[in-house]
Amino acid sequence: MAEATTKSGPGRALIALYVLFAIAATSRSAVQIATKFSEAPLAYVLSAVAAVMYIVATVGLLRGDSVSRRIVTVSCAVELAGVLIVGALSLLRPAWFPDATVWSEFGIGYMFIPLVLPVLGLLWLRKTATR
Amino acid sequence: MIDVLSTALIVATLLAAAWLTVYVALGRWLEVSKRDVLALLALVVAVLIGLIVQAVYGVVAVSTAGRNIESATFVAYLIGTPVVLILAAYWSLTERSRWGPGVLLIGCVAATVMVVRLHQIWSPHG
Repeated sequence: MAEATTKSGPGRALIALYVLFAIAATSRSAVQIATKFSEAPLAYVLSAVAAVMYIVATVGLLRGDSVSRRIVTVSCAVELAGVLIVGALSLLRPAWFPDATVWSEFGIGYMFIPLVLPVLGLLWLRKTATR
Repeated sequence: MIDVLSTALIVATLLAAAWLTVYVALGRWLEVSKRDVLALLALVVAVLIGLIVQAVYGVVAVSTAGRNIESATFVAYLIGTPVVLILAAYWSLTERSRWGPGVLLIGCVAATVMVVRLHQIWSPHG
């Protein structure tokens, strides 16, 4: 019996994007925190938080069971809120961000993918929900 | 940094990306028995070899150079690029829909961006 799974079809591309950003955000924040944490502690911690969200989404979407789906729903919602809030703050209070984070200016440094990704995640979960 | 190599890699990954975009648009999956798909995969393998050569050269260069560049970031990109492309290629082959080439497209675009970034880190003055 075929079930709607989160990791085939377009979901595969979505997970690929999440994996890419998980790798990028994790390594970027690890290097920043290890070498120059004092320069922009808030920014680097936020990048680390983003990295965790991406990892959670990746694992959750790969697993695809109902508990994972719920976890990913929450994490995508938080991720979206994070991009919007950090994006706005980075524009309104640039002094708080001496260095850029993944979510700075709504992810402009990454072609706005950080902004689009959680929306796609939530839409995909909706699409693959079994009734 | 071998400028010729990084330029060739950027051109090759963009070419692969354009090729893959056609497959995605046509809704074709990566059927390995088809000759055009094999040709594309050969291109991807060539890119991977280039990336590995670049990685070896880059690691040697950054450890012997007296240049003040962010070594950790540089090496992470050097090694990360072929890893990302290999993962993308592996994953793209098992999806029998346009999203197979879709995943590899993401990998190739990511590889292009990373090679460009590598070039920027190495030669910030152009």
